[in-house]
Amino acid sequence: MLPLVMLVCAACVEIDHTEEASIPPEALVSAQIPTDGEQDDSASEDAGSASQAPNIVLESKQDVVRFLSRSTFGGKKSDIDELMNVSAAAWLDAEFSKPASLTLPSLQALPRTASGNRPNRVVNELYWDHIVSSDDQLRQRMAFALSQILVYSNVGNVGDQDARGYYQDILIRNAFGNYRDLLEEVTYSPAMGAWLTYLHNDKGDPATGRMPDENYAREILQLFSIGLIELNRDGTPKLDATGQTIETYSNRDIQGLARVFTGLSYAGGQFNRRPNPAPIAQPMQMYDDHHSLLEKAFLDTVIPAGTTGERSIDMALDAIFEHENLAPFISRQLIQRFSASNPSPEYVERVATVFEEGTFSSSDGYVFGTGQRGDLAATLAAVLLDPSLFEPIADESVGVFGKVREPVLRFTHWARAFDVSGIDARNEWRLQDTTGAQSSLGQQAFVAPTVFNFYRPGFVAPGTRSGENNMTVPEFQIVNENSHIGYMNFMTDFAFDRALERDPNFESYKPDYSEEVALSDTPSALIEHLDDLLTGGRMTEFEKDQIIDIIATMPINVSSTELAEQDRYDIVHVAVAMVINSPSYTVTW
Amino acid sequence: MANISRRHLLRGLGTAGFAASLGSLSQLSLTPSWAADASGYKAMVCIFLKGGMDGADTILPYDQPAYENLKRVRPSLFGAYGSQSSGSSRNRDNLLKLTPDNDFAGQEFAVPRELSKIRSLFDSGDLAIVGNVGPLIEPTTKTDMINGTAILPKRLFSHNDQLSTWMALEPEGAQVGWGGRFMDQVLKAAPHQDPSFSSITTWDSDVFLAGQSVSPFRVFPNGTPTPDIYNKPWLIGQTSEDDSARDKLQRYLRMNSSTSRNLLEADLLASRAQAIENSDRFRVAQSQATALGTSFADDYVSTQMRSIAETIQIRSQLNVSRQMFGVNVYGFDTHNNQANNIGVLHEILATAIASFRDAMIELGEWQNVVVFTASDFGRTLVDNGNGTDHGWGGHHFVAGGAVRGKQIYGDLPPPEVGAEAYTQTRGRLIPSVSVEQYAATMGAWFGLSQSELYETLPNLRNFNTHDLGFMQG
Repeated sequence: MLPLVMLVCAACVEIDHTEEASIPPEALVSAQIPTDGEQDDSASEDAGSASQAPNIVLESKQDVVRFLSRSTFGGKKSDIDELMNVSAAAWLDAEFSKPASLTLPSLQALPRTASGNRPNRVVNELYWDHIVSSDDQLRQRMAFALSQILVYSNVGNVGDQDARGYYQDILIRNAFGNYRDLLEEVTYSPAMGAWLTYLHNDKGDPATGRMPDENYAREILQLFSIGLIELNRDGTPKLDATGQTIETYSNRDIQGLARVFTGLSYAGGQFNRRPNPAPIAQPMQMYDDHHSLLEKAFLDTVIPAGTTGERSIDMALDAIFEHENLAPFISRQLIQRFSASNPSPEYVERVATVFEEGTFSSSDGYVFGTGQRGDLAATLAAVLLDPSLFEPIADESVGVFGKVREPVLRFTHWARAFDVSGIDARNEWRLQDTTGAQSSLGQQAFVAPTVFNFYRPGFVAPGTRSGENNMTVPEFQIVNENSHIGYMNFMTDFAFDRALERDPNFESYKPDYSEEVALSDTPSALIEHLDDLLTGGRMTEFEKDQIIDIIATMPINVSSTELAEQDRYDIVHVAVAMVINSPSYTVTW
Repeated sequence: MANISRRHLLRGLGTAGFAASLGSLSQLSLTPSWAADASGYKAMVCIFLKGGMDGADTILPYDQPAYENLKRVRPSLFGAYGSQSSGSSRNRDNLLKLTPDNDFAGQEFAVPRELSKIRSLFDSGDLAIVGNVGPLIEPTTKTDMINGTAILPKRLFSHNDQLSTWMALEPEGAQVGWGGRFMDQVLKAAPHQDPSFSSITTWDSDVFLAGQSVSPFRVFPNGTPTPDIYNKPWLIGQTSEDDSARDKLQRYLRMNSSTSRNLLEADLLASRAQAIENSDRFRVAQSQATALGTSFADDYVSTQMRSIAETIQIRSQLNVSRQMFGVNVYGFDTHNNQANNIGVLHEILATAIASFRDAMIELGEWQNVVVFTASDFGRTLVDNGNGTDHGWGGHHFVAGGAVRGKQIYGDLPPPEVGAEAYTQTRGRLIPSVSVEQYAATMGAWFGLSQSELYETLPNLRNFNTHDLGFMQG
């Protein structure tokens, strides 16, 4: 499947693959990255190399691991061998052409309980299995990213798990599609309709004074498309003559737009009824009798009086989609979900430009996207192939780099790196609900507490050095003093292969540590190996020495093969647990 | 004083907060000598009602004309409550009338029966109502708004921004809340106060509790977690070498100086070390406590309040004379199904506050705590079918032994959409009491001086009244 361009570089094999190693000039691809010629990169850490596109061939194990930490749910050992000396663009190209693996079929294949529901919270369990094992990793990772922008949650967990399955698949199917199509499918989904309360939203009634529900009108603008304040293309706020930010809309816009999202309800029945079984795995239907026919004015758009429901939604979504804010607003958040918690304005502008133009050309000649505004494949390629991610970081530079990986990603990376067998989360007590911070991850996909997700893109953590530098680190909203120990204990249970199983005779999520056990007699080799596999070689020498010292202290009882084997596993368990608790594992850079 | 405060400030910060502490130190020389009174013990407990609680469905008008007006302006919602039926919670006959000691010129008020425990606290003088509170920059009228002369808080009606404004007086992105700022002032004046346990959350690390020198410590209902990897001996073996490995593990996990040049990694390492140290100290303190006699319900709100009571119980072991607490209750964003949902929330809230009072009386601390509610915003008077939308001003509860209870402070405007009290559309209350006045009233009781209140509440000077009068002593 991998296309022709496999840039193998003989010179690279010789060099020391630390992150600081300079790339030999022979390895550089001469093609220029597309720029508008006006951007000034001097503010970012990549100053001095703007004239030459960096090499995007993954030349070392460490390169591969870091790249896959950004673009998948974690690199597997087999991926590492496969991707050595492959262009990152070539990998993207292959991922873009893989068929989508969907989540609803496995949910619908499960028998319903006597009460007519799927087993309690099974959609959570199936989703873990799906992201750990799916082959179309880039697509799944993009869907997970989108789930944190177009936030639907079944936090109440009230039976309708198929609605979430259908919603998950909307994100998965459209992951490489167009944002306009995605917005439309999301708008018509019964899951979102129920979550943001516009399912059954009736037109206003002048007799009683009743007004349409404003919830979706407000959140589609604030969270799903343009945000609250006008943005430059680099994601920084526009300022008026007095230095103030400019609000994108007023309450009048919300009232106008709220009329658009009236008249939607379950398909195939009556507006005010919920058929049984409810058609929740298909789009909602427009009931024009309940749709407001008044004029709908918002964002400098006027939908004339008398316009019917579907046409109104079409026109409204078109207007939202054409708003200048859309590209920087969505681009910055996508970057935060893949590669940088606090992206530079230059990075945001590069990606936003691609979002607008709908096409991206890699430095080694791959072209992604359809050329349509809002093309998500092109946008994603721009996020993951940005030159700033492939340039060597100067030894002396100290600062904020990269992305704090959310807890979900850190769990899946462990599972994939050690190629867990028995991928059936229904057997794992701990995976059914991982939202708690006391003894769990403090996060679960599609179970955010509110439409504002687990954290906000603009979150700046008080009392931190990144906060002093006014850096946004959304993930610090859930990764902090109050969650470290819960995370540590959750991960220790899995790393030690002792997380409680429902059926103790079925070993689910069982890691394969055979390679690590073979290294356990040489602590330094074991730690170097784990450092490469899990952090892409980012641990500091001090940190590695400390862990080596700890595991070197642990005895191996050689009086019997069995006892020695057990002790070797203990060593590996401790080593793995320490590395997956390392800050270097949490941050990818 | 400056020396003591300085040593004190640095102790809680570790390297991560060093630069921040320098910022605070430079301000110290400017701090007037009349600093915060931190004698005895006092605590403030903020209950965030997340989503925006509907004031008009919490404190209802009871005089017949106003009650009828409310029904008229909310026909669908009252329909959903079945308010005509004799059993309905919104049937006027079933509302619990409030009999405040102060006069409201003929206006009468009531609460739904799910708030019966709140009404009891009101009747016994333990609880007051503060009507129509919300973020304001300056006193604001409808006319000012229509004329465009009003200076308004940014991003009204947006959840996250108004929640942040309630907590930190700025929209989302604010790093320091007024609860945290109050504690910063206390720390300057109280040499023995431990900053690690000054600000306590039972749920999220909301910005309300964050200060320059405090960050919230989280308490959990089932005890503070501790790292299993070195505390459970059977995990890695029981030989003496294993013991020594465990010791090394423990030391390693407590190290608080990062060798990484990545700032994010340094932040993570510092917060991990802090987490382990603080949880150990908290556990030691808690291990000496006897169980509370007061029983709490087992819902997630009562369990949060129980955790707070248990934390107050060990206040002397924790070395604190002032504490700021944050509690979260979700589900008030009632765009839909309000009639089915808000009653349950009210009942959970009232039960938790009532049990908390009992526990504080058991500990002899009820005089020394104030429990108060906060919320993103109030909601629209005009309904949307079976729910309500985002508003601005809302009504709140304040409870405690030092509260001048059985009184209604602020304003409870009648439900007349066109009236001066509301914005031009849908009956959104324009607050008549600013969050900063509400905060200042409690801040003064908490021990902050006038100048410290001005320092922590930037718009307070724009209002004539700085003490709403609901706190005594």
